[in-house]
This record gives sequence, structure tokens and C-alpha cells, in this order.
Amino acid sequence: MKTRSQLNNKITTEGTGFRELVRKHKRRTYYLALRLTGDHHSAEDLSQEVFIKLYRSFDKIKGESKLSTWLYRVTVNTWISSKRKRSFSMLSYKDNASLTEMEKEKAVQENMLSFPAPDMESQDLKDHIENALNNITEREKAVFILRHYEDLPLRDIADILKIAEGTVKSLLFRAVRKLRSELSFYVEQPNFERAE
Amino acid sequence: MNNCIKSMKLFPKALYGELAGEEKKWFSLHLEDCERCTSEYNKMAATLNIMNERKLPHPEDSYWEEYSRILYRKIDVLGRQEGYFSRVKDRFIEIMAFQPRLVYAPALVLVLIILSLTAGKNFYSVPQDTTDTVLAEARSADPYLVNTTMDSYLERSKVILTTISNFDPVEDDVYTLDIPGQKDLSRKLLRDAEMLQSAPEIRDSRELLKLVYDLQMIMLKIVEMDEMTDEFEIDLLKLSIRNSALLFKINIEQIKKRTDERNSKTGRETGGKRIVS
Repeated sequence: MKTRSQLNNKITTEGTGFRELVRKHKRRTYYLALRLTGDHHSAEDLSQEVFIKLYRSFDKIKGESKLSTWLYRVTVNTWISSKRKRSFSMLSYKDNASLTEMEKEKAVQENMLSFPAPDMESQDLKDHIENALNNITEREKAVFILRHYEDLPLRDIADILKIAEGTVKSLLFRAVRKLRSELSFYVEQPNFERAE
Repeated sequence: MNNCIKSMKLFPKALYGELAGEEKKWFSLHLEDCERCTSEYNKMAATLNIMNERKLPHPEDSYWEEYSRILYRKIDVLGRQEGYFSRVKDRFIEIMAFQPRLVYAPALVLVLIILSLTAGKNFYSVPQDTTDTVLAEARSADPYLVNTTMDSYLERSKVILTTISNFDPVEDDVYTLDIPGQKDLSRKLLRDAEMLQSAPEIRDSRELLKLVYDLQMIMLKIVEMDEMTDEFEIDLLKLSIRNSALLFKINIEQIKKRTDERNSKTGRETGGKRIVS
């Protein structure tokens, strides 16, 4: 790895510098990370981790056309693996008998947030949407975000995640069905019905 | 019903306007006729409308300069750390280049150990196939051994079939299936199947012989399975297990056996009482 002064000299086979690529792609990568993680600090960390990975494999990047696919894939995969690592450490943490009272209280509050209370009118729609997205699997969430918010066609998503198009369809179908049942209170309301 | 399944398969494309041509026409016609699909589709579309309400904070323009600055600083720090490790590595290689004995002597000893182990294994071990055949012949002649082997054969096959049947290729990771472990067990079961097929007790029962044969086909498929197998291959395997109703047949055989054992036990007890009276 080179020093900061040498960053501009690092170029792809097409001749584009690393800084130039960061400038072009940082917003898109950050926003995908933000949609996946749901908060600014995690999105910043995740997207910068992706750019560090890009820096390390910079010499192997064949062309800029493939770069956006690569960035999407690495962002999703890095997010999934960091989430799994975190849930694994949370598990071993929960097993630990030395959990303090404050931590226990915090865990109860977090638990309450992930399961909406029956009195749904009193809660914000935004929280319900975030909770619904947290209650679907990582792969379902990734496919849903790439299709719904990033507006990528199903075939491109299959290409990015290196899975069959049929699997993408089935993950998307499951995601929307689960979201529907999580948000059933709002779905039944007529003002949210889609106009034909 | 079939049309409804077909239409649901088109939902993901239809919801995002990816349907075209004949598919689009067919889908619209089906929705006109089917209330259930229309209601399901509308609810899913309404869900997507709600999801559009997800608003995330957008950083200000001035943030992006700060973003790049933090990123380059991280790269700089990592570069320095990795530079230190690569200097240590280079130094180690340098030292080894001047001291070839330190590398070649242990490598030579290692090669000699591997050679002698390989030679010993080839010259002094009994061929595996012969041992297995002799053992299989001996076991197939003993009714008690045939009986216990059949019990464990069915039980272990049931474990494999249940694991595969419960595996969801979309939801679960393929490593949870433990393909190398399943392959090992299947190889053992194939050896047991050979012995069972030659046993007279099994040959006399058409159902049992057929069951052993069907299981053998599945085990062969598992043994031939690639360790990085795709979802479609596992789905096909699940389908063949379901189509041949193998788990059901194993359960029936086990129930039959338990009933026979209970009957013979009861018979013995009743006989005993009669003698006493």
C-alpha cells in the first residue's frame, strides 16, 4: 500500500486515478450503504471499507463499466458479513452472565423497538418501516433495496449478487410479502392504496 | 389454481413494470378474472407505496470533502501498518536467502517422512475392497447382524433424507447442509446396502429390497454431488426424495418392525402365563 501522496498515481488499466473514482462513486456507494444500514455512521464506515477494498484490488479492476457492479457487490457482501459478525458477537455477549443492569435495560428497549406495540397509531411510520426492514433476512433486504431504492432491473441484481434470476425473484417476493404483513396496519388504509 | 401460481411468479416483475409482450397481456387478463390475485397484487403494490415513505437523512455538500479526507487518512494509516509488516517479511526472506540450510534441511526431512509413510502404507496394508467384501459376506450370512444393520441403515438414511428435505436453498446457507459429512455417511450406507441386498432375509421381501435400492440411488446422487453444489441440484434431490416417498416408506418399515417385535413379545408373555395356569 502506498502513502497519501502516491494516491493520485495509482491508476486503473483505463487510466483513471483512484481519487477520481472515489469522487465519482462515493455518493452512490454511501447512499447504498445508508439504505442497507439505516444510519449515517454505519453507512460512512461501510462505504469507506468498500473503498479501502477497492484500493487494495485496484490493479485488478479491468474497466470502469465493471466498477459499479463491483462496488454494489462488495458493499452488499461487506454489509452482510459485518452484520453476521456483529450478531455472532452479540450472541456470545448475551451468553455472558456478567451483563449489567443498564445493559439489560438497553437490550429490553431494543427488543421493544424491533417488535411494534399493538397501539400502532401512536408510533411513527418511519420507525415501523425501519423495523419491518430489520425483520427480513439480509439477502431479502439486499435484493429489495437494490430493486426498490436503487431501481436496478432483476437481471442486473442477479449479476451483482452472483445468483440466479429466479432466486432474485423469489427473494424479492418473500421480502415484499413479509413487509406487507409487518406493515399490514398501513396497507389496509385506503390512502396508501396505489392508484391504478 | 395453476394460473394463480403462474401469475404469482410474475408478481416481482409486474410490481416494477418489468413485464412485456405476451406475459404482460396474460397477466392483465388473469387479474381481471381472479379476485384473489388482484387483491394480493394490490396489497403488495400498496406495501411498495408505503416503502416510498422511507426517508433517510442526506448529508450536506460540505460533508463530501470531509468524507474523502477521512478515507485517505484511513488508507494512509493502513499503508503504514502494512508497510511495517512487509518490511519484516522482506527481512525474513533476506535472512533465509543467506542461510539456505535453514530451509532445505527441514524440507528434506519432511519429504523423507512423507515418502516413508506412503511406502509403508502401500506395502503393508490389506486392500480395503477385499476386507469390505469379506466382511460384507460374513455379515450377510448372520440374521442377527442383518437385522441390526437394517435398523441402523434405515435410521441413518432417515437422518440424511430429513436434513436434505428440510434444507431451504434460498433461505439457508449451503454450508449448513454439511455436504462433505453427508457424502461420507452416504458412502458408508452404500457399503451397508450392498451387504443388505445379498442377505436372504432382505431378498425375500420385495418392499424392503425396493426400498434399499431406492435409497441406494439417492446415496449415489449425494456421493456424486459437488461440494459447491447449486440450489437447483439440491432442489432436484429434494424432489426425487419427495416423489419416491422415501421417508414415508422408511417410517412404514420401522412401524412394521416395531409391531412385529411387540407381537412376538406379547405372544411369549401370554404363552408363559398359559403354562403357569
